[in-house]
Amino acid sequence: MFHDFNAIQVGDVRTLSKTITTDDVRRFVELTGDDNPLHVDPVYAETTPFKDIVVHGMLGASFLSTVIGTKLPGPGALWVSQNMEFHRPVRLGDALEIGCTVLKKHERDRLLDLETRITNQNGDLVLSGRAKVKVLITRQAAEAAPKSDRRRVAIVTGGSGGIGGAISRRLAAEGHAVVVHYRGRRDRAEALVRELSANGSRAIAVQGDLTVPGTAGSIVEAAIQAFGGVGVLVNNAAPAIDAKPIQVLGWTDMQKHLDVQVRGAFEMIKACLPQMTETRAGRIVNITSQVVQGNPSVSWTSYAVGKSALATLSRYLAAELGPSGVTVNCVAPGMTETTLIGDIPEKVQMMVARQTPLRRLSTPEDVAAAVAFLASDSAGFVTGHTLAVNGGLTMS
Amino acid sequence: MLDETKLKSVIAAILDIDENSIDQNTSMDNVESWDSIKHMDLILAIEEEFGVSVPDEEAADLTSYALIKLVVADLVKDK
Repeated sequence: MFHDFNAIQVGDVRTLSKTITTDDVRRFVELTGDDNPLHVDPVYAETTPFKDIVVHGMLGASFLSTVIGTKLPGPGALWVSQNMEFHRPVRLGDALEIGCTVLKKHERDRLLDLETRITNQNGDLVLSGRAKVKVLITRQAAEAAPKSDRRRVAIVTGGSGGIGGAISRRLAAEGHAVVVHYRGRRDRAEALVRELSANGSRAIAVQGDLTVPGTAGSIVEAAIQAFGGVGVLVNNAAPAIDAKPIQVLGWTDMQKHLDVQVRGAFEMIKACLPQMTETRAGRIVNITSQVVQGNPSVSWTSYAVGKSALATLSRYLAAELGPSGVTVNCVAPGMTETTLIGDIPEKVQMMVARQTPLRRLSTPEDVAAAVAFLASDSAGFVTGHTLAVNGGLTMS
Repeated sequence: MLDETKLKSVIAAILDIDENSIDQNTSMDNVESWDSIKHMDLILAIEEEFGVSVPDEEAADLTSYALIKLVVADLVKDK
């Protein structure tokens, strides 16, 4: 009996022996109502070319169900399909051997291709065919399953800024080794790494311009060299908002946001995927923004287009990477108390806070807490989701 | 320069509360009498008392003392 799909191997065989009796035929007739005289009336049967009673073909075949349901794969088996060919009649008193052999495993769908065959006491083939059987996951099995060996190593792009720094600190506090990526503020990144190290966490600072091809690969390589792999990727890096009306907004402004927010995240995800799919466990959290779903903030076009593209990238990759055990989610902060909003008048900040049901702006720690949840084992069945951290200012 | 005492006095009179109870945390959330009708009265009274005009798009959002003080101070300064 196989409790574990992973333990089943191609070529595995399980068999069952069964001698067919008159009583079996009687009970089969009671059950199915098939009282065809060929199966139950010896006088009638003698008038046919078979000259004696022929046992219902499905009576013998039904013992395939016994093998599948009790032996291969056993409890939790769902018999999805079966084709079969009857080669010889089964007679009363025949000693049948019913067997199943694993021909192929389909890991993603937990499906088995089985060769099914029944022979009689003379070794003659009575029935042959092919079955497809799905191995279900029961709640008990899922609960008993060992926790993933997801590597507790996180890369945080833009990891030393206001929100990025809070995310790095929170993930470190949750037991992750942290790769603090930065572009230009080496002093700030190194100070953060010293702080994390002083608190007993493992952290390194890695410089890289995400608009330059190859940067993502070198950041991931640094993570592998330092900590042995990557389990969590937080795409947080984004240029400053740089609000401009359309009359002065240039494509270079748009391109800057697309390059960092979208291409940067895209390249980072691609660079991390081999690590994540290898363990069938990875967490990708993309920091988007309330501007994606909320009312437009006039003149924030380049920033909002970048964030919106990142949100769409997240949804599509969530669907594509789910079967590989990788989750992709977004955290969408509202106006957050960082230097990024330094140019927004205090009056506007206060008004936003007043319009917010929870009556304040987001803090970097609020955002970090949401990221930590999505990176945790508790969020193992959450993907394609956007977690709004905006105090209820927008609700969808 | 905003006369904060005068501002508190106007708010206290409209909302029928003790002006000494008004501080940075005073808002529509914690003053029971500060409903949407009283809010209109309050903005009109402030405009009249200080000789300023609160922009329509901001009037409805001035739902805390701290925010009113900030906005009215700007308006008074710009007079």
